[in-house]
Amino acid sequence: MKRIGSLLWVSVILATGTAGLALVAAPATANTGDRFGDRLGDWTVPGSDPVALLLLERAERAAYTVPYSGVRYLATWCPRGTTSAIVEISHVPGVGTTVLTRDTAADPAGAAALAGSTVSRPITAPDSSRPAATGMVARNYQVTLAGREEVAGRRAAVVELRRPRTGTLAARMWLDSATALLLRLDVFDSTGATVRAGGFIAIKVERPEPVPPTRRRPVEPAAVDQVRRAGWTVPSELPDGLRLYDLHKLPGASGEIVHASYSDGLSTVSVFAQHGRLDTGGLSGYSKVRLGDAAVYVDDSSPRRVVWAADGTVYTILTDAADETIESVLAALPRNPGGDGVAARLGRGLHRVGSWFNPFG
Amino acid sequence: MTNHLGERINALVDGELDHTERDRLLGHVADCLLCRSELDVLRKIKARLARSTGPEMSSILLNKLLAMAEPGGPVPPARRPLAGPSYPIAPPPRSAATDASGRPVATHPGSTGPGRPRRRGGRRRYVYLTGASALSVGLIALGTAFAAGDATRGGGPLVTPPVGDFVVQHAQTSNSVPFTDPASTVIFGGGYEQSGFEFGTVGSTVGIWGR
Repeated sequence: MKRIGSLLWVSVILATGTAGLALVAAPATANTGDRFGDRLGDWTVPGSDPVALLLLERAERAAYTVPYSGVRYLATWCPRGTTSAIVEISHVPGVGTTVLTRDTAADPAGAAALAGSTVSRPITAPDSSRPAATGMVARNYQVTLAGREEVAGRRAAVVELRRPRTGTLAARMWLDSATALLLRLDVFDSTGATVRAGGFIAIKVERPEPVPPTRRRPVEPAAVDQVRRAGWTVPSELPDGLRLYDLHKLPGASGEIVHASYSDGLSTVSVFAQHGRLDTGGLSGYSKVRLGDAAVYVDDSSPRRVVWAADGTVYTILTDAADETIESVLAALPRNPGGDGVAARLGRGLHRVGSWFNPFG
Repeated sequence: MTNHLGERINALVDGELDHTERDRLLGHVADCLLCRSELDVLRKIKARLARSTGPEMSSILLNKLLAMAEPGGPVPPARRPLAGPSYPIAPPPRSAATDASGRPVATHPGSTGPGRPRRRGGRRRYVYLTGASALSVGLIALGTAFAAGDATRGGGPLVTPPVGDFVVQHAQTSNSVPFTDPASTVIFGGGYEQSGFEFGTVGSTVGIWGR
């Protein structure tokens, strides 16, 4: 009965949605690939509901094609505190998204920091035939339909994402019944604790507009190899299903900066690397904490910032992922073994002094 | 002299006589000026010997020994282990006497043996000096390693990450993942400062304004 009910409900969605009509003809499992930009295929986690995956494909396109404006809330949690914001947001397809922070709650210190920053987000409309983010989600999570609810006065389908190994809930999405627009998103860590939650308090949806697709080229392995040969550490994958989907170099005051972007379809992790020694005196607002076995400097603003130095390179992570994911990422990247303990420092020092007398070093 | 103390005077000075014999000899010393004088002189000599330390090494000899320490063959094994029973760490016995050449000799069984030089104090200092030197070298090495192990040391310039620029860059690339919360890429929180950073790697533009 539940399955029948889901199918009937999706039929309503497809009948009322305009952007989703074209997706009906596209099979949920078409091609196979393991690079960003390839559509979902054989990598789909077993047990996922094809109808739910179709709905995710619609939601991905709606993010770029449906004009809207409204008020959203956003809250993040971590063991060291919380951040929250209420923002005015408006999106014009092909132009950009403007976010204006107008209020905050829960954290008086954050309230002052939040006041009045705005950012116009760029628009990168996906190639219409390649729903990349849906592919990443399908590769890492079991996607199922979980009923219907109302968000900001609009009917929405609830889609749940579960971790395939443990079956624990990773995220719950509320997708607009009419347009498939993502109305609300809650993300949970492996213990069930909420990592972040955000959704519309009020929304006005305009008529979807056709947006010329912008083909986003996948990261070429040759380009990655070239960066690696220059001495940079750029893993193709990071733990927790994070895959490299963007890589480029930036000019920096003290030299070249490499920016590698990773995602599992639900969270994003940016890793910036630059040669040099970390000037800890310039890290205002950061606290030195231990994540896993790594001693790092953390700023729990949104997005969360993590800074450390290892092997003559300064690394900076920006992410909206949970602490447990950050710890896994740190374990996969260069860092000072043992942190800053006396034994670890002596070990590094002896190794360094030994290298001074090594004629071949 | 047969009626005087003779060889027994050493035993009297060293306190090695039993009660009866000591009283008998002291009775003689009380009436014999010669033995009393000899006993007085012998006590002074032994007291001075007990207070004296080993001969100081001359600087010339020291330099010669240091020169011998230059690279050469293996060091011959020690004739006696430092912890051996023949070198008890104790003050020299008061019974030590001198022979005709002036070298100290043992005067009764159980002493350190005839003709053995009294250099135990010098060897002990050598052990202490060696130990202290090794300890100093170890401490200096650990201090150097601790200083060199500072994670912030190493090659390259001193870097303060331009996090404000990074946040902008992160917002742009994260936009490619539509299931992230659109508000999560809002630049807020401490540490951000407008920098005028410009980029166009994806063909888009981002504007940032602060009130």
